[in-house]
Amino acid sequence: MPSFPKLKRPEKITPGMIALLVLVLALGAWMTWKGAVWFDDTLGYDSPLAGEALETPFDRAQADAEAAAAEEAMARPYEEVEYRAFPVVGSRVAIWVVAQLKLLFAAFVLAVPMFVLIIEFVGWRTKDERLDRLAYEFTSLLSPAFAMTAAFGGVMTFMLIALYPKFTTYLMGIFSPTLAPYFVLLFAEAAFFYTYYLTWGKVGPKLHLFLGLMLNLVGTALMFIANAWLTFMTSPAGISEKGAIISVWDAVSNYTWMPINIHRIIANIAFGGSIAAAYAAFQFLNAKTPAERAHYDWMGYIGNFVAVAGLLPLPFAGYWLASEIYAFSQTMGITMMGGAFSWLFIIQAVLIGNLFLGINYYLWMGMGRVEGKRAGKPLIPVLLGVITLCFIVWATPRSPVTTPEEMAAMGGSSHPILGFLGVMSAKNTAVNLIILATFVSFILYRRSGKKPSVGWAKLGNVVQGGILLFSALVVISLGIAGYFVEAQVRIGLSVPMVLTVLFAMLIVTVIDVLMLRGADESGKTHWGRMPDRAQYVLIFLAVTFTWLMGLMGYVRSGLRQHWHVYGVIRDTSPDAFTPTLGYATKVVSVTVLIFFALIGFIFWLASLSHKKKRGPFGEAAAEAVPAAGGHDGPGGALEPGTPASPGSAPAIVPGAARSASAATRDDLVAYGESDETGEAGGEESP
Amino acid sequence: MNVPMPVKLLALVLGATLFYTWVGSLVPQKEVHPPEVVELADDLSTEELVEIGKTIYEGKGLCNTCHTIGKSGALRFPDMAGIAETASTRVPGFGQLDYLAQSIYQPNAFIVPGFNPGMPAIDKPPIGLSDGEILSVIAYLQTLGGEATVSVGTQLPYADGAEPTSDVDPAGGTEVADAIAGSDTVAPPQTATVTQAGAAAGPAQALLERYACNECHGEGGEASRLAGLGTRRTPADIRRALVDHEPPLPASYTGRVTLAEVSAMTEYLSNLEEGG
Repeated sequence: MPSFPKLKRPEKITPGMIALLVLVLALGAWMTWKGAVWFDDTLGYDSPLAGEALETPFDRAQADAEAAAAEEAMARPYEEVEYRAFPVVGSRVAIWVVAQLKLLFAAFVLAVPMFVLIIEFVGWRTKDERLDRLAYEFTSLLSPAFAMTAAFGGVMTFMLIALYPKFTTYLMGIFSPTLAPYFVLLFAEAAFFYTYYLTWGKVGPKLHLFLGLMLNLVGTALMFIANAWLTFMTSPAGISEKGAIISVWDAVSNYTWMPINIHRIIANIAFGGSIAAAYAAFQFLNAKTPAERAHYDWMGYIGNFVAVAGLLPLPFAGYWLASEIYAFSQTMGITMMGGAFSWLFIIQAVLIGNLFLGINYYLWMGMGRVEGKRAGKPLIPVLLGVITLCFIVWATPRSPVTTPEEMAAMGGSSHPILGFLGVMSAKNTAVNLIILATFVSFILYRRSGKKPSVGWAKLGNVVQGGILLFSALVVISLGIAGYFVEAQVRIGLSVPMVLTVLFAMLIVTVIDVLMLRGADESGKTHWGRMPDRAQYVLIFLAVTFTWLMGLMGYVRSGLRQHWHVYGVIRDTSPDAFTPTLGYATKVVSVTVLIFFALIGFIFWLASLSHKKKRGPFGEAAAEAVPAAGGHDGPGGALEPGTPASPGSAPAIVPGAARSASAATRDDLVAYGESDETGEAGGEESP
Repeated sequence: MNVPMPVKLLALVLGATLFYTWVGSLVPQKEVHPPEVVELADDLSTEELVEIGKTIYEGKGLCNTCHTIGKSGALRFPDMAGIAETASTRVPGFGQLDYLAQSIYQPNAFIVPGFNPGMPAIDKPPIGLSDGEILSVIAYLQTLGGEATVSVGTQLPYADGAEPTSDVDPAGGTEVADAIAGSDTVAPPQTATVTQAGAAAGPAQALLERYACNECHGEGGEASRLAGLGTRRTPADIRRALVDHEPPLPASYTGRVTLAEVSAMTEYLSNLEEGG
């Protein structure tokens, strides 16, 4: 059997071999191409008429038609169109998504300077450097968000002009006197923002605070002007029946203008706080050192505190807005609450219920940061029960979706028992009790690790409990009374309910502040001793807040139904119909996902920026965390009547945030301890 | 399994969004289209008119958004069961047709005691029913406790500014105004005269006198004159001024005026022409 010589495999592929391969492939490709051309030239079929102009009757007709069309196009006069169509998704969805994204970024940009100014001011008054640093870090998020707001604002304006030219011209005509101030304020806001941000630490504290104040005033004025335009569309005023302007001021100060202004300020604060908390949670999850964890835990707490502070009064602002809508048009009010949009408020109830559950859960977990006895722990199951029960009541529809058989079994469109939970009296009661329960959670958290040292502490506790219990009873009693009185009386009952809750919260807070003055702080607060799931709760809250903003934006706009300006300028576009709630929620979801993709990118950019500033041991973060020895930081300096622990922070004026002083190793060691117990801290949390 | 943090975040954001989208899909799905104008053919029978009226009542008229049929208890607006019968008894001197037409064209001229004003003029936007459509709704309302008597050719009072057909005593307005003056709670029964512009003048004029509006707004007064107000201000603006007057009005007005009175004055002032 012949033996074949063994082929020797090359040790490795050399550049020469690659060059040879490329040459062979190129040669093969060239030869293939040349062969194909030769084949076509020599063997292909040639028509005897090739090269001659071949014109059939069809070709002639087509040429004539093209010539006629060109002539007609040249003779066509300019016509103003009422609408233009946006490709694929249509004009309405396009403008809806862009406007909502603009609003979300604008809300963030308007809200953050508000609480940043407060934090900076408190830091200055209490000479607490950490608060100043925190304020600066919040402000650093604004720069990219500011650019996003401007970009989406520009796109929205162009889209309005392009897609709704006639309506946009009308609206600009009505509000033309407001356009110049708006643009001036727009530039002023940019100027104040960048001056405020870039002069941090470079000018005196009073001047810097003044810049922050001006930024807030200008931003709020801008929002008020824009709100005039959009509220005019819902509740027009100052115009004749045919839509001609009579009074610009009346058009501005229409029925829903001030309620929307107030509602938006409060909602923006809640939303801005939640997004800032989500940023802190994101950084917490990315943290590499105990010091970073501690810092971002504290930052997340403050963001959430701001969000809760905004959320609690929000329903009351909502009542006012709804009552003004009713005052403007009963038809619109009833369409909102009892007509086409009534089911939207069931979805809203699910969202707000989740918000309250999440906020309370976070507060309860936060008690795990504090060493020592947690007096309020036994109350947590009770609070959870109250919130869950109220959540269920709030989300109960008056007339559930049923089959004909089920309806027959119920004896009508409403359930004979549960149907009573679907009316306004029950829902008002539920929302007020949820607010009270959340307030109690906050008070319990605030008192973790503290023991009042005043002589009247016992009496104070009894009075506080009595006030809370009494206000809950008043709310429940008024809710029950609502079933037995006429409609006009029932509607009015929501006012004493709200006042009772507000009054109770105010009095209990005052007593608490007085009672905890000079309290014994028996337990240390270990910032950073929070489980990861607490951070995911913060992010969940931010998603829910954003989704809620999108949903309520839809109902505010959708209430107009087939009107651009309610009762005056009719929508005659193909999108004039009101879509189903399922469709609307899909659009809201897409908007929310786009927003989070963009805000995630901003967070990532911000984290790069902070990494750059941070040394290998996370010095910058360590500088900005409260000392582990006391329960200050957010629970201290930011709370009235509880000054920061003396000595826990050096007396430094605003602007110190960007000073390059390094943290001591002691700080890191302190947080190293808390980090060791970090996981256990999660287990300890309720 | 140790899931990377970005994956967890993505799952959380997507999961929460999908959950809320799912909740949105659970509620009833209804698409609301802009109403179309219903053209009434000349040869429609009364039965057909009633059918059309029922459709409009439940649809573009938005009547059942506020009004129930056959319900009792704490209602927000009057129930419509038996309206054919009660319509002829509510306002002395007004027949069934006059009352129904007035309730639709000038809903705030008379408010049923125990209820607040709030119904918009149905012939004006945003509802904006045509005269024919209103006629068909009235035909339907006549069947609620009675029999439809109108036909396509019926000329409705108030339609195109027409006056009511009933024999209304012009002096009645003064009597009614006197009645109003003695009551702060009962809404004014409007057996008043109707001006060319359609406003119920008698009681409203009495109210303006009662609250001494002419002291400032009359001849020689410091404030703008009321004559021709309807051409200078919208009804919403007038209503707002009556509710939230600038400068603030004395307690003799703010502490006594009722919503029904505000509505009556708004209606009157909105239609007040120069020289009126």
